[in-house]
Amino acid sequence: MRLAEADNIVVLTRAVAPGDAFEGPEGGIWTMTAKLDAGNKLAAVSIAAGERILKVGVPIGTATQAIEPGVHVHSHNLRSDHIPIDRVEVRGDGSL
Amino acid sequence: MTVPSEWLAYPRADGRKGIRNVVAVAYLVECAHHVAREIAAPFGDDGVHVIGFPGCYPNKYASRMLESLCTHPNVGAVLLVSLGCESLPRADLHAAVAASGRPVETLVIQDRGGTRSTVAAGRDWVKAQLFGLHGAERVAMSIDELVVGTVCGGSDGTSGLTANPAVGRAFDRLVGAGATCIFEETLEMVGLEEHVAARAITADLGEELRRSIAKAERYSVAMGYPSFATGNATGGLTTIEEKSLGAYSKSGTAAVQGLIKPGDLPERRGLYLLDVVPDGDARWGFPNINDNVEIAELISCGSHLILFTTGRGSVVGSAIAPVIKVCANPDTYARLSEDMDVDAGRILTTDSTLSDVAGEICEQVATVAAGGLTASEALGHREFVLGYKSFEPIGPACHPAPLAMAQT
Repeated sequence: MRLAEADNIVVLTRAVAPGDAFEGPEGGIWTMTAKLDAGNKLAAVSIAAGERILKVGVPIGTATQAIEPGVHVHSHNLRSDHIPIDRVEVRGDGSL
Repeated sequence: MTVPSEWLAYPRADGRKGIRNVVAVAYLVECAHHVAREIAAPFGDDGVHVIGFPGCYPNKYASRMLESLCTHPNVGAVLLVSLGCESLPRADLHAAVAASGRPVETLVIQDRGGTRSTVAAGRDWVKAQLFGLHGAERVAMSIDELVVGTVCGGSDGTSGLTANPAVGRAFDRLVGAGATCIFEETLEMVGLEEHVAARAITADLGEELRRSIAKAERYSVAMGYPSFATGNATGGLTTIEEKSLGAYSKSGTAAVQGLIKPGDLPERRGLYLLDVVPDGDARWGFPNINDNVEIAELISCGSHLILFTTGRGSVVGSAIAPVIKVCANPDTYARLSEDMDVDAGRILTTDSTLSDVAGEICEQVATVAAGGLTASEALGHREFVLGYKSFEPIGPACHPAPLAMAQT
């Protein structure tokens, strides 16, 4: 689900598992590599390091690395512009 | 389903009306908690609720909270249970409740001969009150006399997509119908200061709102981390501003009429922001150790009922006021439906819209106000938490006079 036209992320409306594949909003098949709950974010487009992440058209932080379309956006590649949440660590498999 | 626009409620001497008529049993220090719990235990579903304050050292905020809750419109009678040597000024509290026209009794365990005799005396007193409250007069109450608070707990990435914006739309409709609505969580408006301030009815109030959010940010930095739990991150929320965005949508789009602090009553109808972050230096620890602290504070400001949105699946209710749980996540609803009142997650899985869910929330508000039980009430949830805080009284800019509205 894309919440606003300006957004560079989309939000999962259902849980996904590794291997699940579906079409991204701009075409192209996205294959999931991790188990993610509904509500998690995926890059909708190619995002450069240092670019603001927009959700509902509002900045929710800055990308800390380049993110390809369909890739999970979370604390491993997105950092708050206000208060860094250091204690939340996401492991490589996407679980906490 | 027809939505009642008017229902029968309990009139109080201060002009407010209650949608419940509970006996509050309040312990005045943790040492009296067990006795208070034992007094209430046999009454089960009969509307006897235990509240109280665990601290032995005096605290103005705690005294004010207890006074506000003991004189809340949903409360019909009050039993104070004191150990005897605690510092909370029990005579003042007793006098305030008596002045509100409610039956009140204070039992001091050290003067009563201990646990057993105090429990027996307390149960006798409560039984007599319940008998009186059963036949209490009721009068018509309408939506424009209702005060509704909102809070979220156990948020995840779906909260900001479904339940929170649906509550926001319900708030817009309730405010439109003349109700008073209270939102809070300034800790979760970090990053949204300018947007919040722009909704104030005066520029001075806007500055106060901005200041309260800055205070929240300062306080959470002092505490080491913002209002953010591991469950939030599992649910897909990454940053505090992202969580803020979702939480803030509960407030809807109405103009903000004023800024209040725990125990303050909104002076008019419309939308109010409740600031629950203590004033002054960061002390006493976290401002909201859990959701029930905020729920109790919303109730202290006169909320008759609470709209509680949850993604991960909170099961709590509250003493004194019913809690309507609006579940944001369809998977959570499937697992915990017995604890939920509204399935807002269906926005993601069916063709239901935010507007449909907002309509259902408004129906629930009216039904519960008319006496219908919420899921948490029916399950016996009556959580209550009160700790130490300190507040400065609100300034005049926080409560603009009605005249100010005409000028802006």
